[in-house]
Amino acid sequence: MELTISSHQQDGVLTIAVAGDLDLLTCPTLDTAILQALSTAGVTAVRVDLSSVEFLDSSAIALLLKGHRAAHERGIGYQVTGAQGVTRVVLEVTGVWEHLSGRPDDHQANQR
Amino acid sequence: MTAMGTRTDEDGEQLRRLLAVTDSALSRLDIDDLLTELVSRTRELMGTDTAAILLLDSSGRELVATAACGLEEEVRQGVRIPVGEGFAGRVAASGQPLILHHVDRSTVINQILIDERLAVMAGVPITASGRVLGVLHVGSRTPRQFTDADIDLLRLVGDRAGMAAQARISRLDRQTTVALQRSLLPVRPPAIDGFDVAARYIPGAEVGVGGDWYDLFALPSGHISVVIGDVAGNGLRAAVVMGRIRSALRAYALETHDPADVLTRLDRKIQLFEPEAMATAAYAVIDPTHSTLTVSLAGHLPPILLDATGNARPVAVPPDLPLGAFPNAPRRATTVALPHALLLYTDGLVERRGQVITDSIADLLTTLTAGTADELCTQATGVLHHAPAADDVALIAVCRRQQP
Repeated sequence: MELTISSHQQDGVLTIAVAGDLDLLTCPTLDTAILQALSTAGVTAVRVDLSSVEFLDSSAIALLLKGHRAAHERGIGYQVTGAQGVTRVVLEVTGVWEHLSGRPDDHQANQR
Repeated sequence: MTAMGTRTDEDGEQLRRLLAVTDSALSRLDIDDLLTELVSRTRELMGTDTAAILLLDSSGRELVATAACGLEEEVRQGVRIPVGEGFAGRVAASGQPLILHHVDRSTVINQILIDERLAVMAGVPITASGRVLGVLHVGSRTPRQFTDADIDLLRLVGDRAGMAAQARISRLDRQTTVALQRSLLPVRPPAIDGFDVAARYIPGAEVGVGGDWYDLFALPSGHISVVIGDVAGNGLRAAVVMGRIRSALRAYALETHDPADVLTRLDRKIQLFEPEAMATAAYAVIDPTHSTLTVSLAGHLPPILLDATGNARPVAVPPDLPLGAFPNAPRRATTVALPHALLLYTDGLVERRGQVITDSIADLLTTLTAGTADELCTQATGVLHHAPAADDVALIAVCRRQQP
């Protein structure tokens, strides 16, 4: 299935809306979009909206995590939103949903 | 009439040229022979003195003379041209055809071209899937014009060479990756007293061999380590990173028996030395009395525990972030009673388009019954019969031997 990506920016928050399947073949497109978003002047936070993603494999998880790290290194906010169904479950089972969906500074809260 | 005749001759010539380089007999040649045959035909068709193919090396920064006709010296000497420099280097950098009306030190860096007294040259990029893989060029000792039709022919040969070059790259990469995998993943894991062990590695249908690995070793303290992991990406690069991560994990396992501590150290090493890499891993340590199992998960699916009657359940361990995902990610370990058997696997076994991963895992659990480690592996891979895995699959099963 095709991957479609659309971006819009409001008050420094750049939202990347993703639709379709995120796998090894389609990941490079999102990778480029995230890197572009992070280097767009005036952007203070990037949001990756997965509401319309129907499948997501391990390469996509790696990509979303890399985006998070790259944003953190540049002092830009980063949040993955809207994951649901199949997509949400895979992010939860692999233990990355809490990290990706927000509160990166809250990371220590996980610690026991 | 004359004009008509010329036109037909031109068309005939075009057709002859086209057939010469798209000849299906070419595809039966070994790749190196094919490139040599292509440069030979190109030189003949264009009436030039030389024709040569240079391909990018694995770094992507230098062109290496690979096939030549009239310039054999170039291949024998293994001439290397940096991308962006000299004639071929400029063609590779721009990805555009280039015609050189004067060959001298200001336009080329390869001494052989000057020694051969070439007067003019024409070159085109060799591309495949939009990527520049090399350069094809021809040269003449006497001044001549290169027409649009000449450039079109060179491009056609370039396309044919591109297909061959890409096939060669993927074949080499695949062979090297498979060799590396074989050396790192013994089909029969080492025997460990009191345990029956089996493992499988199944290359994915879509991506081929990649960065999955499994490992099993006994420590001097009597602890037994069981590992499974998956480096993001595929091909040679992922396999090389996998080899390094696997070795580093073994080294840290000698330092501490706490799996969370081992993965924390491993993560720190990856963040520093492999900043581009990311990997998931499940690391389990069996205590010297064989009574407990301590597990830490780095973004990996939980291992499956089986009792002697074949009841299977995933070990209840909260997963932490994958290795290389984020600096200083906290890591946890959970200790459970050592069951009759455990099965560690990579996500290729349960990743299905259109299916919730937890449902695939539930299917896997019902497929498993008691048996030897080898039987457990066979039962587990049975789930792939109807839906071959797109991604690589690695799994390792460890069973307690019945006390005599």
